[in-house]
Amino acid sequence: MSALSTKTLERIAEGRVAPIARWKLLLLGGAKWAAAGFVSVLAAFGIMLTVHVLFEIDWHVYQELGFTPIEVLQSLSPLLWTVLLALILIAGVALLRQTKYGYRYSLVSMFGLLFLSGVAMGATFERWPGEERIESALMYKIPGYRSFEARVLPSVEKQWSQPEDGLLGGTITSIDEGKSFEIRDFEDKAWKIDTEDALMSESVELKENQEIKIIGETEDNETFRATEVRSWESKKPTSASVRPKAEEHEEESDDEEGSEERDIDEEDGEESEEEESEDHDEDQEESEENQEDSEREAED
Amino acid sequence: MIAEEQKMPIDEADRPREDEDLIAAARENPEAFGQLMERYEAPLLRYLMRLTGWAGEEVEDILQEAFIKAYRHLNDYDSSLKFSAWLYRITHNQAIDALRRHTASPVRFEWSLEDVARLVPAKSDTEASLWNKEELESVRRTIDSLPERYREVLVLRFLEEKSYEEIVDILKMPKGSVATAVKRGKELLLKQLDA
Repeated sequence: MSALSTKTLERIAEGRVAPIARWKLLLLGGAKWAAAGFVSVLAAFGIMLTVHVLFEIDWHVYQELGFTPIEVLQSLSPLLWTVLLALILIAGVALLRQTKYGYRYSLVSMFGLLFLSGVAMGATFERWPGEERIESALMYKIPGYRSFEARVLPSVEKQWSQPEDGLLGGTITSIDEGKSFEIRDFEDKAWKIDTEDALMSESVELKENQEIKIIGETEDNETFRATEVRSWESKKPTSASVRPKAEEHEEESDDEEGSEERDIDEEDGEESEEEESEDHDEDQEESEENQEDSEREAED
Repeated sequence: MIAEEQKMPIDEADRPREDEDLIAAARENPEAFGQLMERYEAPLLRYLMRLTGWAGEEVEDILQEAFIKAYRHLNDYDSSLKFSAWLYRITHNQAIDALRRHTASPVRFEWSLEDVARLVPAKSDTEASLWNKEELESVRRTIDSLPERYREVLVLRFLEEKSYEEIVDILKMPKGSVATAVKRGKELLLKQLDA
């Protein structure tokens, strides 16, 4: 035996060095896998949540209000969430790399794997029948969850928590007889809603504790001037005539007179238009009859 | 089983014991580990010298530490890896630690003509044999000056003649990164030699 081997064996004997027990190594390996698995599931869950929101948010509102794709992204990706998700993803990949054969896979393939798992989970969750029940359980049974959603997560609540961009949502707290009511938004801030010029969906019941979505603009720190009020469940425009923000400003002054006439039910928008055209036909028939009468009178 | 043993040729018993057998035996008895050390001592010492550029006691100490570490983690060895790759990995990590710790310059390893010729294939054997000591020294300095990530893959690929799969397991790097490092390291080495 060589001198080096002999010397090494002597050191092993002197130091009573022994192989580390297999169970300890298995435990360590298991802990690494558990940590990697937990963080990876968390990362996939974060991506799933983002995918879920893509299905849930009111895309047409952004379109109608003329948001650019970057503005949409900014409004839906709170900085804290973005940073959190990025950190979870990085931690997930780093922990996966620490597992026994994790080094064999490239960073790109690991990020891709986590991302695709998240997308797959999101799409599956979206089609799952229990999705709504879970969502409402989270919303209404966990105190502060909606406020957390509105502040931190990309969510519908987040979308409707942008008063400065004309989108406000919340729960009605009191109703003034007339043209305004008060709400508490998802960040727990009180707002007075001026509905004088608003398109009001008939499906919106203006009653306390009702959740609603409002499109409009801030007048001051506490007052929001609504141009459209819709029910929280609604994902459709109130009517086909919902106009871009810029146009609304121009037409605001002209609209004052006929605001009450434009109370159109979002679901019944087309029917109402039909009704209007029927009314128009009736008027026309009436005027024709009047004309005939007057002709007869003249002949007499 | 007994029947299989009976079928074995007589000289099978004299065959050197496989790594797997020695590992299993070493788990119970350190003496069997001695045989494994004997088997890998020379190639690992050579590898350490090529990797660190050191010679003498410095590399022997590194190897001794690596062997002790390997013995302690013997139960962590997974037979889906080549034992040599696993041992190279431990030795490599020990060498990198030593390189980072050391500030003094120990005895230098003298590169052989064959090594240089394998790393710089543009030079033919005849041409390489005509290199004088100064030129060899210049090549050695160039190799030593390469960034660590390039030097280690070049040594493993061209001097230790390891396959890409083995390098992946030794350096714990994805195959694509190993291939890129080999390509870039080679390019950088030739560029610096031309300069």
